Amino acid sequence: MMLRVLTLLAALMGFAAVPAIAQNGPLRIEIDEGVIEPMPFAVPDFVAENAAAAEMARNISRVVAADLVNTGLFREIPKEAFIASVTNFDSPVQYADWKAINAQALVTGAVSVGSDGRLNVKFRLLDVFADAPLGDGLQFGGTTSSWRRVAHKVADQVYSRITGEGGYFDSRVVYVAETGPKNDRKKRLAIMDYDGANTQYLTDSTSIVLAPRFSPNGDRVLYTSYETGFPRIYLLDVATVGRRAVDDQSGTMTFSPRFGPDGSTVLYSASQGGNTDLFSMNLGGGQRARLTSSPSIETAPSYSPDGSRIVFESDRSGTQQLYIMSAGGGEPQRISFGSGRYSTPVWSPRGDYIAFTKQNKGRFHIGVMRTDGSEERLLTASFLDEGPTWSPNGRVIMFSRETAGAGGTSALYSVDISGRNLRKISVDGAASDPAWSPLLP
Amino acid sequence: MGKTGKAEAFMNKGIYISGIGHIGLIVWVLVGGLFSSDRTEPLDVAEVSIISGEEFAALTAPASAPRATQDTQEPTPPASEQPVTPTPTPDTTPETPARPDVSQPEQPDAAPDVSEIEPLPQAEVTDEAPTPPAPPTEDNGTTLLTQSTRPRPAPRVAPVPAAQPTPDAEVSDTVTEATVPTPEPEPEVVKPPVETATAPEEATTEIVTEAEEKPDAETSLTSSMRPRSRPARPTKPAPSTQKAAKPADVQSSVNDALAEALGGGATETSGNGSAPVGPPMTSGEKDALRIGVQRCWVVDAGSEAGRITVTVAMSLTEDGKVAGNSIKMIANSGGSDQAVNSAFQSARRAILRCQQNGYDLPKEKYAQWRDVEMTFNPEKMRIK
Repeated sequence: MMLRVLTLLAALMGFAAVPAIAQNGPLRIEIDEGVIEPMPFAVPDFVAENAAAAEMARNISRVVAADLVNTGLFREIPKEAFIASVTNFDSPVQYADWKAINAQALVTGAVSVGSDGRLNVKFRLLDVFADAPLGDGLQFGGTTSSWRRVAHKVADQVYSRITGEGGYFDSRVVYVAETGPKNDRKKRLAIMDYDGANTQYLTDSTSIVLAPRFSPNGDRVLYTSYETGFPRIYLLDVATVGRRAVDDQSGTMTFSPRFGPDGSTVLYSASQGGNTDLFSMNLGGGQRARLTSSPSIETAPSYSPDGSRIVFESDRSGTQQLYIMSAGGGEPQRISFGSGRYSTPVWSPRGDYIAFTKQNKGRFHIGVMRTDGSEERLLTASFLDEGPTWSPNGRVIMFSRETAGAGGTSALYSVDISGRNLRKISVDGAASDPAWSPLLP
Repeated sequence: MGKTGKAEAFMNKGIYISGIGHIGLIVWVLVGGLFSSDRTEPLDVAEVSIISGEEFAALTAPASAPRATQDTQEPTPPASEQPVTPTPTPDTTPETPARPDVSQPEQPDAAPDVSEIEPLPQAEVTDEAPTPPAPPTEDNGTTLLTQSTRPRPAPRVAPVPAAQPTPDAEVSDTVTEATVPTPEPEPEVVKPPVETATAPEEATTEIVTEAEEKPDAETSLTSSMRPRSRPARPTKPAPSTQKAAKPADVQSSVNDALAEALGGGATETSGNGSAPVGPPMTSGEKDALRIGVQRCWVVDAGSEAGRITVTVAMSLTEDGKVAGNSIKMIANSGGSDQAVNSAFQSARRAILRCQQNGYDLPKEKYAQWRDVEMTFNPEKMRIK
């Protein structure tokens, strides 16, 4: 009883003293609603420090701006709106001039080309409303032929400093380039910059190729080819374009390969006697290890970033669904429970999401879910969307979309993980089955 | 009341029999009076009920207006006036329940709610208010622990998780018997002399003002909160000047240092002296600042930074602009360094970008908004 009275008394006193604090303490405000809009930035043409660099300076600043705009998170302020110009990389910036046009970030740079053909690019990122640079100035060197990569690296730095995430611009995409009508389509492997530039072909179009996958450091590609008449996995060196078959056993169809995080293990499906199961194999030369042994079809395996688990699709429940199991095999756990069929799961490089293709009510979707199957979100919807692949920072998903009808063609698209910013990648001709490389060194 | 007074007088005299007789007579008289009053009152009661209903309507809208509309309903058919009449009647009905709810349940409800919810704020408050006596400061540390451990395990630990609470509960069981007596006398000795007089009054007025703050006038707030909290300050230095200086330093030394360094307030103590305090900030004035900032707060919902809550502290100049480079991050909900920094930059950019020529804040209350702590919580913005 006494205690209760004391508690009550203390409570009253505490209550009474609250206004005294409120009066003298700081004013506390909670902001729980913001806006989702692209951040306006300005990239004045980089300063050309010698005559040879004039055109390159302009091109590099254009690529930097395009990279940032491509993310959907930034909006470039057109040059016509500028009320100040940057003619000297080292002279102080008049922040007020950039505040006046509401530029929140300002990227300045300088480009020089040496007599030996060496390219040197310096840049600074300035937080206009903080009146201060955001991070230190940096400079990149390279050959003039690699100017786009240098520009991507500058943009990666800008993106990373503002968003707090890793960049993804200096990366490449391997895909299947398609020509010809649907009933006689030629396919060959091609590789390009993430933005569609610098396309190169890795194979000829004499045989059907499918599902290329990058190694963790981007130097090799695993893919499936029908050149022997039935599907078989090949390993291709990107630099030399040399290749060899993986798990070359007669009478076995192998497909749907994917590298392990260490780059030496390959995970794939093998079909023998009408049953498809998952296997792993060391590329250094080893026996294949069986991971599943079920009468159902198990395929499309993908490692978690730490290599401890595998997500894959299986029809053991009667329809295609997603399952997770330990990297060494074991009892799989189903994670997809929505309506429709789920396929081609890919673990995010950040480890937080699994991207997948979903077929439901005659429509195809690219979606993401947490690794336990929760928080499923569909990011796209169309006649045929499939084959998601993650950007190196786990923020963007690229996939192929095919239009309906006999004249339908396939193209590559990218979408932000938030479901915003759906963009078509500008590729020469039709394209499908993209696979994103890691960030280049 | 009259009955009981008489009865007590007779009891003192000891004449029970006569007392019983008188009581019987009084009861008889009352019963008779009731009968007689019933006979006369029916007419009055009927009138009173009608008047009261109109009075309630009159309280919300101008007294003459509702009556006139009721009268006009019957004779005038036009559709325009009919919708007008229903609106006042529903308005009156909700208000009548609202007022009794506030007045009656407040006292019983307020006590249990406070005791359950506010054990933590109590501890914080006691640190500042009772500081004068020297020994209590050491004891306050113990009281903080004991008080906090006590309330927490019982209501909060049971519903929420299992791992952490159980050890706390076990520890508290062993410790409570020994420590509980020590903290309890301390609040009695220390707090009551200074604050018991203010506590009950402010508690009652607070409850009223919080309920009425948004819809109604500020008068109730100004009369209650401001004066009480101010005299509490001067009373502190009276017992001991040294300790009065300490809380001021602890509370606002950082803020004052910032303000002085920036040439803002130039007030030494808590800001009561030179900076105008004025009546308490209304929710509308706070909302103006909140909305002013949030329209510039760009959230990148897909990023890790878009899942981090950051709290920043800053000082404002008298014209409502951020003083110098005063925006500092004082708390965050955790994440990678890069993401936390990005979340902070985003918050800072919002504040700086939308200040324009200064946030619209009442100058007469500058002391209240000179130092601002702003929490940016992106929870609602998350992609789902």
